Amino acid sequence: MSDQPTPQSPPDDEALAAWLAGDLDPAADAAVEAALDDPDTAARLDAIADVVARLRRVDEVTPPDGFERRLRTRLDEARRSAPATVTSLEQARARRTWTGVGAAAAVLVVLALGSLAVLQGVGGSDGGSAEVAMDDSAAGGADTAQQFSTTEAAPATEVTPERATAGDAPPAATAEEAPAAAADSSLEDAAQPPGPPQGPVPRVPPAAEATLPGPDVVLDETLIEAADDATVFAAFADLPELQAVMGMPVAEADTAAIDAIRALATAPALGGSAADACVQTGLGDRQPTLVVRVQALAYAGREGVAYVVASSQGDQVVDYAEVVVVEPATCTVLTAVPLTER
Amino acid sequence: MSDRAAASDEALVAAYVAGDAAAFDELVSRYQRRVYGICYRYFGDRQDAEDAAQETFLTLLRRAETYTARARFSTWLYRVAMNACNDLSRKRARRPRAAPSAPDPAQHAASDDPVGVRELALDLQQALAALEPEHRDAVVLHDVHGLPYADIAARLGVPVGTVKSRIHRGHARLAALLRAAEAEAPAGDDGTEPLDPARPPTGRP
Repeated sequence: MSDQPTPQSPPDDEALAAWLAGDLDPAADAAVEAALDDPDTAARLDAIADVVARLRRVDEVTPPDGFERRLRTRLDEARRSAPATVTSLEQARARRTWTGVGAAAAVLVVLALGSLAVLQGVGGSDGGSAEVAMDDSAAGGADTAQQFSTTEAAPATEVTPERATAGDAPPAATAEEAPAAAADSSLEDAAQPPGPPQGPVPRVPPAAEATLPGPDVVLDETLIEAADDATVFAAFADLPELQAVMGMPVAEADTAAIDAIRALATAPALGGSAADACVQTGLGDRQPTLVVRVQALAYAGREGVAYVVASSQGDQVVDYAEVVVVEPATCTVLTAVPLTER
Repeated sequence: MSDRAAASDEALVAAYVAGDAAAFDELVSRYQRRVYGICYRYFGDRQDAEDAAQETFLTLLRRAETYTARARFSTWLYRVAMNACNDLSRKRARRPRAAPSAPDPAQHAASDDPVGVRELALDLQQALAALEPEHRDAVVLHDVHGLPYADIAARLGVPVGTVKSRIHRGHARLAALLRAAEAEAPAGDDGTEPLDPARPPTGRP
């Protein structure tokens, strides 16, 4: 792979091609994204996109009968269920702010992974990599999904920690269902009464989470507004769920990583997008990589989702953590902030 | 012809973000076939391609404001489609497969068109012929035959990362070659020598 671009060196064509395919690691992806402000770089990207489309002869494929009708039906349904689909950042922020500030409606779902079951090897993994974990999550979503529920009376809701069995597990959210769920979420948000004044919203106090057993995945829709990396670091450096997995043996982390992905596959939508929509971007290429928190976060004014992930730099224990903030529509990495030393 | 039909993609996106729902419909009309094609080439499966194409347009429906008109809209939509395909592939634990309509590499290996690129436009055939062989093989297997990275890695006996790198380098080089050819012969027939498919790769742009 080519060198990662720097502000002094625009990305080369190879990096642009990799960006187009979604194959870059988060840092390189973010660097290319930022470099597209340069018209020459954007033009080179356009040229590569043209080449790839021509090579694949994408314009020669004939969609099946009824494709356009089904597509438009789906889009019409989405528009009806979420009439305010194109919203300003301020509008979206206002809805999320209400969600985050209103204690009675705060949404913080903890997707417990069933640590005991994991340790006992129930539903264990094949010890694979992060990529294997993703594949497994997709294949096994329906029969290994975690049960979860939310209670709107409490600021934080824990998930029933037992692992669901094949017979009683809720169906995994499919690609077809996820947008509908997101649309439903948007509708619910839009129906909320006017909330408190806008403004930066502190993260749910750690005390509310400190009793959670680890390793868990925390899904928090409370919007954090971070102007820079230092703010991101301060918001996530001391998470209890992160501390719970640091030092975990790699073999155990392998299994937990897969369970985390499976849990996210069935999680509620976050900010209109599936909670795991960009999780692969957040995972990066270290193995294993545990997702411990998914958090709504606006970075330098851009709406995003933060994945707090932990991994191993060697082959012994989990010893590295970082926050990867992703723009959920395109999985563009807005920033990646290490929480531990490399 | 209506104003919308004559409008640029970028103008349509801006109009949609400003509240013009009909502009979105026009974008769907323009790109529904292409997005399906992108997804079909990725999966080689009609249902998966349709699902991913729908996800792509749902992203456009909900996140059009994130397109900032730096690169072309078609490029942005290509990337959104690829992300939709990658996401769906992971969710279904189904690796992308070769498109059934794609030529069988084995058949081509025994024919006089060993890389199976005859269906491509001439300038692309010529540019492909000028690639380093290892880059050309990876690009043809992936883009022309629709093989996923892992299958190519197994076939070539190299790591997946190497396959990705070869493909991306191949794409980069192809773009450079085509740019150079276009610069040399902007009118298409000015006496300059076209890329020769029989010419061995030189490594030069």
